Amino acid sequence: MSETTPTREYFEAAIADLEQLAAAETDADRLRDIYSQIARLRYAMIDESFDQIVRRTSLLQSLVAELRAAIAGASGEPPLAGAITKLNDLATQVQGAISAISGISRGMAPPKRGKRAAAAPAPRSRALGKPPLRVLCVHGVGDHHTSLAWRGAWTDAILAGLRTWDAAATAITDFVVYDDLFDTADLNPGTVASAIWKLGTSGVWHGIGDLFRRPRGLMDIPTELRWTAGMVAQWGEDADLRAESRGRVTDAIVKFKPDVIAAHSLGSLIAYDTLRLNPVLLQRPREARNRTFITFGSQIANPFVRSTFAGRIEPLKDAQNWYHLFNPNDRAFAQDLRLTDPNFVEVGAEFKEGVINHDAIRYLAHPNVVSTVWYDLANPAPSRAIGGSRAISRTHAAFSTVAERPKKRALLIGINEYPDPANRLDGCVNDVFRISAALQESGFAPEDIRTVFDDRATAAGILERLHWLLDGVCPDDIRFLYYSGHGAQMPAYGARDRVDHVNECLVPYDFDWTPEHAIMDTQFYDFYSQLPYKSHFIAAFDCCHSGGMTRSSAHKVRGITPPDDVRHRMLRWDWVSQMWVERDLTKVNPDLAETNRDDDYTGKSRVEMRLGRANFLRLPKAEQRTRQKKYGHKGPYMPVLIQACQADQLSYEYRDGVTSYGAFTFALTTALSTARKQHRSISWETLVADTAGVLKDNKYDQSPNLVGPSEVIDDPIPWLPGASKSRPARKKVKA
Amino acid sequence: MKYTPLPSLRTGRIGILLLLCSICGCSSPPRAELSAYKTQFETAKTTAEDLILSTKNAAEALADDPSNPASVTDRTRQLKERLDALDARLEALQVVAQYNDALARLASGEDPAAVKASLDNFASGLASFNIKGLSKLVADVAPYGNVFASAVTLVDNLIQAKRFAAAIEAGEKPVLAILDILSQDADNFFNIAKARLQLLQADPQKQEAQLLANRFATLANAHPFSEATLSPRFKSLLAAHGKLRQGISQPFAHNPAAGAAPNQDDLALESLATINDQMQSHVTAYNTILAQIDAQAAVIKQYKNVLASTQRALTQVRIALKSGRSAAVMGFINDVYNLRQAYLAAREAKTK
Repeated sequence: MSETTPTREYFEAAIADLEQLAAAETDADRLRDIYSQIARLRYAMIDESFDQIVRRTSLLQSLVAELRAAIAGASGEPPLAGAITKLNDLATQVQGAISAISGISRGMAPPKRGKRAAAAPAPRSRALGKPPLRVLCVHGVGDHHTSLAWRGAWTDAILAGLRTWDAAATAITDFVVYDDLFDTADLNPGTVASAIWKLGTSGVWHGIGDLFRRPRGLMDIPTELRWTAGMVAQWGEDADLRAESRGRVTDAIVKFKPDVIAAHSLGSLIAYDTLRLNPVLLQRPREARNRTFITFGSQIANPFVRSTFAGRIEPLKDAQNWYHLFNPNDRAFAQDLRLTDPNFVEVGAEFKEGVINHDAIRYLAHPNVVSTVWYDLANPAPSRAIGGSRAISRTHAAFSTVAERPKKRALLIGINEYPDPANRLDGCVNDVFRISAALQESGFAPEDIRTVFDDRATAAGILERLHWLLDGVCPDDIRFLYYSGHGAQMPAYGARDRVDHVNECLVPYDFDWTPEHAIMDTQFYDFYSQLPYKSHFIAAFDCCHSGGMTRSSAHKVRGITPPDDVRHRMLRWDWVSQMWVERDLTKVNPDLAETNRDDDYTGKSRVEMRLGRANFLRLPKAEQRTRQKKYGHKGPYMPVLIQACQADQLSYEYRDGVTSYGAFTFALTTALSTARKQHRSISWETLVADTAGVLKDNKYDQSPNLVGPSEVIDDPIPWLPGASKSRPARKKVKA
Repeated sequence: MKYTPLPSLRTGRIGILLLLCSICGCSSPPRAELSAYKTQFETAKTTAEDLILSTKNAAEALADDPSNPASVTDRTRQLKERLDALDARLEALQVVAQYNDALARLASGEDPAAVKASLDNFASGLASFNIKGLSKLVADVAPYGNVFASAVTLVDNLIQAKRFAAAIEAGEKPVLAILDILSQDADNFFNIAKARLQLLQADPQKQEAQLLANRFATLANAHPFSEATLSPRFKSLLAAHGKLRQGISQPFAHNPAAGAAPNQDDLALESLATINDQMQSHVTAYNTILAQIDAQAAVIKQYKNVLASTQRALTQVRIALKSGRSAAVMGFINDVYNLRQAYLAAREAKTK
């Protein structure tokens, strides 16, 4: 039938022929006749189209009937009761079969198990199926109490991740919602501005730089970031809010009894706060495994947040595992976390989406996360043993192989050939070789000493090598950083876009008086503040930071003068004296500045952020101590810092015959060499005193400065003879 | 205090779990894919309903059209057939929508709140599954309450998942076939609309334009203009007329008559100008109708794309269900966007 039915093409061809005739037709009547024929064809074409529609209708109706049957099959209550009956029947049969095979029958005693095994049920065999994974989700910044759509998306992402590895995996999710708590908490623009500045300071080096290189006012950054900063600021500054937030998470854990706590962004701070203060929430004594903690898009390592936790993020030893998912492009102040504990692993989850690259689902569904976190959770280790986690075992294979991981490492930096001839020095490279020789005489392997000189010692080059030096440091490891070159002080802008403090900095080869090309404590503390307390990190700086005041010294000075525009930041015109004088800046952390360690921490001016002190992470003293006690640690890790001179002194060069050295370095290595030759076990304090003696004997007006934890600076230098395993009894010399 | 399970109960538990394994043949509903498919279908359904209603109007208008060569009896019979057929399409769309809703209900069987309730408090959780008398059963196996609760939840989830899979299996073929039919219908809808536009609007305009063109040619060829080759106005009228003829695909050659003396040139030129003006309005109307037809063609093309991607989306639901992997479901965005653009273009063409 279809072969004889005129098609659309047939009609269109016929009509086209008639239209050609019409175009050539000059007689009006004949033209009307042609158009009448065209009209008839068009009616026929319409009829045919309708006929085709009608002819398909019976097929359509049968399909609709089939679909109705499918709907009927899909509707109605699940026949659960029938399933349970069937289940019981089958269970009886299976029980009989298993009894026949294994000999276990009613009344027989269970096989004996060890004490540990008795304390926890036997692990459920994979072959016997697994219970659903219970995941407690703590959301991040945003509106989560008026919309529920995000819950389905989280659940889908979690299920998809698990089912990549186990098609039958199931998960039950529950959600902690806390937005309403923030609605009522006080927040003013100044707090938000300050929070953005503090949150963004470290972010310059972690992906936010292109948006937020300098504080330029609240309107210059995306709304999401203002929102994030605002909520984080509220949370960080309001103790009651933190307590209420902890209460929400605690209640949810107690009621829901999760296997996993997954927390995004601000939620990760709240969850960590809860779990750190109440670690028992991570414990499950009756279960084979403790609870797993997952943080993603987390600002937990951000200095502003870290200061809330008294400057240090301690591991969660009661967590089965702690996965920290980190996207280096995350601009919502997220940061990588440096922990080396065996149950901690950071999973790289790099992606770009939207402006701030902070989406929770993108984190949860990231291929790296699927292949580590969800793999581990879909295939849990049978016990609490860490080896069951693929991600963690892989990380520790890289970092913890005792046979291969060096206990000692040293990074030595020397810069003579600065681009500006006026700034060039003579002895810095020699210093490095002298220090390297001294270290090798003290047991450092040559391959564990890295040096960087002159034009290779750029800011980026130095930071990259700091990773090599300080990543993956474990207790009892020794790390030595030595710098020989210029130092400087750089007036810096604070939260209100005004100069309000001074950064002490090292001067790399590409130094240009901007934070991006200097080594300041805002970058440096990121490397050392999370080190294990029992590790040894020593930083020696042969430079000075008050340099440039005297250019015409007979000896070369290792400090440079700021250009006049930078110098102007620190000056004001005194109309009474008709002179330029230094501005009076507000003391940074005045409470800390008033202690007996003021020079060491904030300099004579009390406005300096000195290298290696992690001032940025420290709260006022009383509050710092309270929170240290609360969170169970001793604050940011403090390296042993040996500086060439006091804050108000200059560091000079010394010519040994025709060879130049830093006077301090020459004296330091001399003192070290003497101690080694005499087989003396000396402490850091003794070493610095000996060095000062050598300098004084050579008529140098510079006295080295030693700063470090009071319980460490009296200890023997760990790599010198006699600095054995048994440390002398500690005595507290400094507060 | 440590509870050590009795062997019988332990083996019972093993049995329960083994049963669960036996049931574990399918994954849970892939919600993302289902959501994409539903969104696709809703878009297609809206367009389909518009087209079907337009075609119903066309069917009624044809039945009332005195120019329709069919007899009144035939027209009445045809109208009923055609309206029934079109109503069957509307019904099919409703049934597919019901089917989609049924799928969505099945997919939401894993509602976390319901599952949470069942696990936190099994007895009250039973109420959410409408199972009576199971509380007593649970009380009898009190030491295994938690295990049993988990088992019941799993069974429920698996049954839901199985039902979902069965619903997909049962419904996929008819839904795909229905969408095929709608796609074939789309060509017919377009042919009907196009033919009607041409029949009722384009052809009369073209015919009138051609009649006027013939009048212009007669006058221009018959009148021996005194400055035929030099008169700027005549040349301008000829040029304008040539453009108008291009609009209706009718060539023109000026062959002036020779012999008679020129007479009343101005009046003749005025007549030619008037013919051009009249012809202009017809050609413009004709071209507007052609633009509407082109816009309608674009709508139909995109509508068919959406139908095709809806079919793909449904297939993806099944694939995701079988493989447990997330399938690519966002390809339809382009189709929906293009359909929207075509609609806007069609609306613009109508208002020109």
